[in-house]
Amino acid sequence: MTDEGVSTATAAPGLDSWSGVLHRGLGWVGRWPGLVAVIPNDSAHDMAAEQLLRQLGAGATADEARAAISAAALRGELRAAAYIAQPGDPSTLVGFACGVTEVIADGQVLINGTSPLQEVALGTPEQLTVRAANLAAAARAVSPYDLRQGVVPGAGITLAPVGTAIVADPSTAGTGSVPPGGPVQTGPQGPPPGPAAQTPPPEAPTPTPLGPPAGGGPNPPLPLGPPSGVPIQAPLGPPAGVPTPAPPEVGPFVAVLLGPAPASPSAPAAPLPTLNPTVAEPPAAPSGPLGHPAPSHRIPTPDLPINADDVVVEGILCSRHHFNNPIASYCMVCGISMVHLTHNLVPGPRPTLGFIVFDNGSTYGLDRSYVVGREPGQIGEANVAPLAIHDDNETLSRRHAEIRLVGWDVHIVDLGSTNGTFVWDVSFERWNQIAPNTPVLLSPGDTVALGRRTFVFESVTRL
Amino acid sequence: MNGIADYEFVHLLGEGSHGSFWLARCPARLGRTDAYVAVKTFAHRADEGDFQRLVAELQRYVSVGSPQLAQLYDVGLQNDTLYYASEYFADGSLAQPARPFTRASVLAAITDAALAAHALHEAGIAHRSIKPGNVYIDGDRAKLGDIGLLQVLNPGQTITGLDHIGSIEYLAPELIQGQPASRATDVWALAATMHRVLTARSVYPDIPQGSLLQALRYLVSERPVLNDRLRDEERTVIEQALAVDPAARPATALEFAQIVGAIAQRLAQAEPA
Ligand SMILES: [Zn+2]
Repeated sequence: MTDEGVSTATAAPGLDSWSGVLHRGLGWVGRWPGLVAVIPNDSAHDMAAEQLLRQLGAGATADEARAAISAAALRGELRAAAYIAQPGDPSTLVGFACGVTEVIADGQVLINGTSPLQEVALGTPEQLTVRAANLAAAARAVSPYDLRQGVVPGAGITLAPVGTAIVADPSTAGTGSVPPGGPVQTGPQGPPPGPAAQTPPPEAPTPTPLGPPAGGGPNPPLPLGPPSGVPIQAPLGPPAGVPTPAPPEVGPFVAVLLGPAPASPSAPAAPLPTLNPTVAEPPAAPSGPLGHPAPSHRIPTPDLPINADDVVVEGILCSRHHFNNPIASYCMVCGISMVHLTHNLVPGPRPTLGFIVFDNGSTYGLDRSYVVGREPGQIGEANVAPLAIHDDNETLSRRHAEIRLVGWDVHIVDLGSTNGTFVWDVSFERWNQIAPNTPVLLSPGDTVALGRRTFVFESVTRL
Repeated sequence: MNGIADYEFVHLLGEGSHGSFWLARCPARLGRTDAYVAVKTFAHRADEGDFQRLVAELQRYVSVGSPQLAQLYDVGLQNDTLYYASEYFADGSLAQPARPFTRASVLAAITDAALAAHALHEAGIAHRSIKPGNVYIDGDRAKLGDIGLLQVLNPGQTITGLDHIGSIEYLAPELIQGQPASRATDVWALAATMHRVLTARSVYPDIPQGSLLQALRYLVSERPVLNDRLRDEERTVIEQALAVDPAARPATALEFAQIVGAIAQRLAQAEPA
């Protein structure tokens, strides 16, 4: 990344004047005058890749980098690497690929891991891509970052003259369907793109990927206007052109600088409680007045600790003292059978009753009640939270319905909404509208529609 | 998006339904020497109240001051978009390491993440979002970042959306059920992270694919199945930390850190330098 000592690869017109748009994925993309290289990350953590990157990071020239990459590949030390180079003569472009990488010119894969390990002339293409060939996320140029020089994380790069649009790559069959907001990698190799890929495109007619339960699945009852679809991130901008030298215009914003260690004026917060029973017990039994050990007060079923804002319900304890719904046959915490226990009802803080899963995958725990709507606002009641739902078509009222916990039960209450609240009737395969301001008991697995949005109620009570 | 506030974005680092991470140039306003910072923007349409709650939550985080926690620099609101800026780790995370790792250094990174979690717990904060992508490589150590802020913006929400499906293996069953986050839920996440990084496999190898609802039903009723690639002492601590009963897990993240740290040390001594 020095300008001095660059012999044959000095900023020739052509490649070096092209913009380079990155592809996301595991690995590294490097660009020097006369060279762009991609070294995909290898889950086997190949030591050679690290050595090579160190070498390149230390200011190697393009020729040295090129020689180092091809030599490491030929020696078999580098499992995968690819590059495009313009050695000297601006009219000559060569490419190299080994392992699961490929070099693509104007949509044609010219070199891939099955090609002989040697440089190949690339002709005079209008667009060039060098990338990892096995990564769905690497298939597309999505980043608005125009890499001109340096080494950055990524799995590929597409080069084109400044100002030309990057043409969607025709050779990405099978991988090109991954949306730009595709799966976030969660492991060294990442999960398969399956689940995310099943999210319907925004123009899909029925946006219910989770949908109601089996049996064909009902659609929400209000086909008003165009469907809302799945909330989409702001689309990524087109590939940026030349980086603007002037700072971008900054609109108004508010910000608070977070100091490294500001003196906290408030008293330090209490630590989170520990659950381990050995910690919860007092350290030692206090002695009695005459030096005799105090009598043990171990109670077989200790009272459950109840805080001021807990909702108290009566339940049963499993043999390990987990608090459960009296109708449960198995403990919701440890799964142990409670069938043969004598069911003494004890008061305790109400545990979670389950969870609700919306059509877009958004999930909420039923440890509290919710007021659901377009803009439910703040709720002044303890144990009731606002649950704001995105709804492009305004089929939801501002405060549409309440999911209300009553004892061990979950109720749905329509709050006088404009378009109504519906519960799917499994037996008759139809939506039943519920009367406003009248609580309706939900059973596990019930699907509820509010406007065009649906959710499923799941119980954690094990019957 | 090309930027927010006075941040100029250079590269998208990752995204989900909750928001996006960007590599951005560090504005002079921050008074930092960093060339780049990581900026998180939230998809949530926020108002002034959300901003105030986020500021309060992040100030609590910053005041913990653990060396194993990623540093936060700035939090802001532009139009209805919240953002915060934190230090950027060029070496990547345990999910996307930019360079190779030995098993011992992976375990040392998990140890650092557990120490960071413990520091948060002692200050009364649960992290809620420990996973490989949030354990950042910093030289030969690691830092825990990206504290879970769902509860601040959407109280009660446990999963943001379908693209969260790749992260549900890190959610303790009781968390999915709706119980509050705790030391025990973070200890679960640490163990699931350790399992994923050591084996490249989920602790739920047979989880139904394609339907979040089916996956969640599976998670609250089935037990993790540990991969054969684990060594015995690794398996023992992961098994304990993934106990279905939260009280049967290591009582603190510190306890977990000490066990894993000891394994890392033994391994480092056994591995050739
Ligand atoms: Zn139990």
